[in-house]
Amino acid sequence: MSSPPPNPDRSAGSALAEPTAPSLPSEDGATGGPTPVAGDTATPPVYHARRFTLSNVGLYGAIAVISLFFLFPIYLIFLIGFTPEEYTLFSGRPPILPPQLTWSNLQAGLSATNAPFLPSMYLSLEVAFFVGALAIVIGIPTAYGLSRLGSRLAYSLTTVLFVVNMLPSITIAIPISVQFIEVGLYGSPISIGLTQELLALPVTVFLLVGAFQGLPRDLENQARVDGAGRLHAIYGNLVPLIRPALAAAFLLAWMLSWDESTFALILYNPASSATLPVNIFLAFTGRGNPVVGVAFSCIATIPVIILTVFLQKYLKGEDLAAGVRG
Amino acid sequence: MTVKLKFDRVTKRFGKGRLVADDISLEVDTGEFFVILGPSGEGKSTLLRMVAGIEPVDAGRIFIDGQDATHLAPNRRNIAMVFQNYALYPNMNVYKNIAFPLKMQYFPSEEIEPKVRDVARTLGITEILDRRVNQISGGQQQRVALARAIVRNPTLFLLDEPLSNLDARVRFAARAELKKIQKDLGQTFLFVTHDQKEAEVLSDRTGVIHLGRFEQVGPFSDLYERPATRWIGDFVGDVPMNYMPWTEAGAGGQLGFRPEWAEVTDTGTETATVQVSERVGDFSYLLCTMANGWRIYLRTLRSFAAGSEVHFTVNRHVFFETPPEDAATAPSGRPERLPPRPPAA
Ligand SMILES: Nc1ncnc2c1ncn2[C@@H]1O[C@H](COP(=O)(O)OP(=O)(O)O)[C@@H](O)[C@H]1O
Ligand SMILES: [Mg+2]
Repeated sequence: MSSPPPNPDRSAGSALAEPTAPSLPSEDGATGGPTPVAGDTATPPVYHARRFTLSNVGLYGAIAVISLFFLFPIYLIFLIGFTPEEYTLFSGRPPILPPQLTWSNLQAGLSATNAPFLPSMYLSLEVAFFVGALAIVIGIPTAYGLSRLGSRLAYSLTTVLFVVNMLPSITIAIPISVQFIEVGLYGSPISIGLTQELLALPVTVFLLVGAFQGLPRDLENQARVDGAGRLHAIYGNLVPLIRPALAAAFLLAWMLSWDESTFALILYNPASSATLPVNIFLAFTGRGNPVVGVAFSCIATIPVIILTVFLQKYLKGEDLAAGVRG
Repeated sequence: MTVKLKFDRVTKRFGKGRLVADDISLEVDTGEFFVILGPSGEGKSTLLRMVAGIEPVDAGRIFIDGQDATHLAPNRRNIAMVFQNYALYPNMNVYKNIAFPLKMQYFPSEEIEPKVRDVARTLGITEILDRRVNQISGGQQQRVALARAIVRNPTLFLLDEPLSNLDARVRFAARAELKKIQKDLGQTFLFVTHDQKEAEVLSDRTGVIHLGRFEQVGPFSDLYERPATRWIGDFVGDVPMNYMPWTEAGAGGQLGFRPEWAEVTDTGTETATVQVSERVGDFSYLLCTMANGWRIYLRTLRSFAAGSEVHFTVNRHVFFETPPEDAATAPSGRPERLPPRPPAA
């Protein structure tokens, strides 16, 4: 029996005659025996309180170890930053806990004359926000275009974008510096930012392509049919939906720039100031003043924390996730 | 009757795939409720999307209100479309969703508000105007999508299986309501479905699409009563048509009849053997085998045991002439390749 029997009212065309699916009498009926009704004797489900089991201990232990592994270097920087030098840099056996706390390292670092702190911080912030913003501004149209190409082609093209990231920075930094010297932008925030953008943009685009591809295609079509032009459909209807990816992309690009030292060093014009990583690098190497480097390092973590906390609510995107269907 | 929408030899294929639209020509009248019916994957949605302008046409032209719209941008066509998953804007609440098409037409906000409230009242969604679209039920989402389509008074509505995502109970009410809305608006609806019940209830005319062409276009009752091809005979109706070899006016072919077009009597001219008998309400439904092995369905008030002989007379039939080149390969039994049949509405 492959088809159900016809509905008697089929030709009558009545809207109310929904076909029911009749079936042959079931075999149960033939046996005639009483069948126990499932669920009659079932006890209500018992909800257990979350227990502190052995496997939980293992899990939390592993999390603690991994956290320690990543946080320890940061701890060391702060330890050196706030402990008198004689216990740390000039000691054969540096302690794990600070025997004494002091502000003097920080003060010395921030008032160093060969590496003025405020201009350096300002330059770093300027460049990082420039890189982050430009990554978004260029990333959106690029990623939108790629996401509409079909996933295989988009993937290949995005991979090509990563070529710059695969080369050693130093090999491209020098020719680029020469170009910037020629156009008179050498050492400017724009020159550093544009160069760092080469590293940031592929990551941003990769992230945003995925986000665009995750949106139902018909949302854009709906907007177009509802009267929106293509640009409005992209920036008014799609972009608000990928806010979490935008926040992540901005943060990644921003931090990439904040950390970046190779391009920043080669494009560093001693006549103006250097970015924080360059000053930290120079403090440890050329100038031989590790305290300044450590002080800068301590302070360099602060904007990262502020920015991450600020973007947190966009990164989650809880308000949006449930609404995107299909 | 003016022509609202016209397909003129429209052709479409994706990549190197088969033709999704194969030289389609069709005219839909103003104010008509036209249903495009067909199994899944036959290109119904693609046809609708070409009218909306979100899928390019390979060859041929599409006219809306007599204007060539083949290459017009979607936002310049003055059409409304309801997608299968409703495509509500997740970042906007219900009110903003409905207001969106008006905003795109630069209506001042003091004109937008009454229009939105008006259409919301018509569709009974006034209380949910402030909700997020993920906080409302499927039936409400369907109404919001419909409200958004109606709000700026377009003259052509495209609806892609708008009822298929609803629970059976809600769908039943929504279907009746949709028909009423179309009558009240008096506008042209182009409605895609794989559900023949929807076509039957809603349509003024139905076009059944198969292999990129309209196999038959006409009032739904014609599809049932006078199927143009065996494929239509099998696709339309709760069970495929019954067939017997037949010769009419000297041409060989098959006679096709619906179960209720045959009468089971002891004096019947045809004979078949009952395989399975099912009792539904007053009727017995008999799955029988003819002497030549073909399987047929019969309906009768009497009861028959499996294995018994049954006699019947065909009171009404349609005749499908077998084209001469097909005669050699005429089906030797119940066709093996029955169309996939949609679930009951
Ligand atoms: N964007 C696309 N790219 C490639 N093939 C497609 C695309 N859209 C639809 N198709 C194919 O075209 C055929 C018709 O699809 P569709 O119009 O969605 O059918 P229906 O709406 O009748 O189910 C299907 O075989 C489908 O796989
Ligand atoms: Mg479809």
